[in-house]
Amino acid sequence: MRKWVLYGCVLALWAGSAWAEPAGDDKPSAALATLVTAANLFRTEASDNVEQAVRKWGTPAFVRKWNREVMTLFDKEEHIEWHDFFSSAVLWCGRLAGREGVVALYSPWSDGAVLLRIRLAGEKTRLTDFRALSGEALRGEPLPDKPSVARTLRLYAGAEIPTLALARLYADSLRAFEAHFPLEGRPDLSPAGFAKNAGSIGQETALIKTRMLHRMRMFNDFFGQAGNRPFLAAAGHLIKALEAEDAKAVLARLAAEQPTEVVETVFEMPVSVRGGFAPNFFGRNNGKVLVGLVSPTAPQWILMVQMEERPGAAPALIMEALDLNVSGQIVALAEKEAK
Amino acid sequence: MKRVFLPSLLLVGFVWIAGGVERGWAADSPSGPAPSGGFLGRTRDAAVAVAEHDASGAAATGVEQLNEAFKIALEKGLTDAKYKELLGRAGKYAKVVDLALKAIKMGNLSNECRVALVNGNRDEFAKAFNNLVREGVKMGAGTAGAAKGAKVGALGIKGGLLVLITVPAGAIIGGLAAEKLAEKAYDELLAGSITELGELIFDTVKGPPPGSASEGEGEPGPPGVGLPHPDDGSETEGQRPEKLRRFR
Repeated sequence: MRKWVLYGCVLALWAGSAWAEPAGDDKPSAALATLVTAANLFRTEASDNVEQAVRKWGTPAFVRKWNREVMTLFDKEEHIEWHDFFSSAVLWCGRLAGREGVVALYSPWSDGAVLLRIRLAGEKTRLTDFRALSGEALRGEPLPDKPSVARTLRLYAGAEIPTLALARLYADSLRAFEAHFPLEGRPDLSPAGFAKNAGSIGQETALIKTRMLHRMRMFNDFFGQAGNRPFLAAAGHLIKALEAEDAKAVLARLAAEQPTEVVETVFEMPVSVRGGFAPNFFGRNNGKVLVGLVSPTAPQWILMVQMEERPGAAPALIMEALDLNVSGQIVALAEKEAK
Repeated sequence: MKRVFLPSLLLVGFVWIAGGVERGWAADSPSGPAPSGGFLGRTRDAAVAVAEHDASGAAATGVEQLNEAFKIALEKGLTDAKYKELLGRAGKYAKVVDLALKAIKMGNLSNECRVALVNGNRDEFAKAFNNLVREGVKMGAGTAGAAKGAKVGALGIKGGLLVLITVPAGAIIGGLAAEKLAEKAYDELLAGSITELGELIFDTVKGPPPGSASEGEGEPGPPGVGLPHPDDGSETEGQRPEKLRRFR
């Protein structure tokens, strides 16, 4: 049953990697497919123009609430944070009742979620209500008594490698969502026992915004610093190579020690996904640069490219692929190895 | 069979949407223009432009426009008083958000210092470093209490540069040393950038090491780079880089 909640499993199923559990008597629903498809279209449009997407998909009450509770924290010039958020947010759905349901757009990069109540009304699909939640509130974690930067910006704090930090955030958040949002149920954004420690929408949004701002700084560093141009160029070449029909062009861009299985797996993706990978993360670790690539069509798939400077030559690249759908397994494996 | 029906349907829908959006299509949806590629489309275009054109001409303009948007959002977000209005001065949310914003701001300023150093721009470096120290003082005041912070902050002004060099990470400013929590947070968050900053100061003063990325990038400048006093922007004898060598 729970597996159905995870819309992101779609691609993993297709890739044959993560769809092992039988679903018993689950009945796929055309209404569910329509709602999720519409929510994904909203997400796609909001990644380009959030104001327009909200006006287009939201009921008047939804728009008023969004502007009152969320956008008071953002100026016109700041909408790019939301574009970043929505472009790499993964979709989960649950609590479907007839032609209505709940869709969560969770971004592990900003560790926050926007829960949408969505309804089919005639031929139109409309967003009728929403709730913004920080990852902390989503997972039921209390805010620390003493503030901690390392905890608030944990993905960027360097305490563990970014892929593992991402997997941990995602796995724990999904587990919390699944526990309170089964596939069928009353489409309630605040079911009993869920996000008990959550603050107001404004407070939750402010917490998410700290991560968004950190990402602005990260992007500003990556795209604005002349010293980072070789890494940006290397990412650009790799992105172009991913559009090719076969893996040869990509392998030519990667270091000799690159495991070819990773590249072959990436080339199992449709070109509409593979050809859309774009820079979404930039960081440094142990003297090496990490560039994360995400495709807006399937943001649950992440390519993390490790780049090492070489005097007089382009950086040496090693690519790994992360499927957020198997985050739980990755965390379990890491914890087992740590013991 | 049932198990694969919905996911297959959704996959088709997913890819269909991706293709449809590119064509400006939006079935079963309210009317309105379709998006032009979204945020990731912009970062993708910028990276490819740099790769293919080395960011010259039109490509450079696109990258700069994107970067300008990041910069404006960052500056507005860090300086905006809306947080305080919304969150108030007390409460857990206010504290957590405030500390995170200060950390981001500090990291950004240290980055500005790094850029100025790499570019060999002494004036810019002096300005950026002055800001770094000022922010450290505020941080000390904010976390350790106004009176204590002011005292520790004063130490930070005088000793900030020396602490920066002698301690590789963490207590970059005197004010932070007084507040263990802030020290720990900065230690974990900013260790890398602060260490690099310290190294780059020396590289700039004494010249970059052979084979380093900054070698040949502009003039590193002769020893004797003047740093302004954080209070009034003037130079002080005790902050001249000759002092740095004693602590290497």
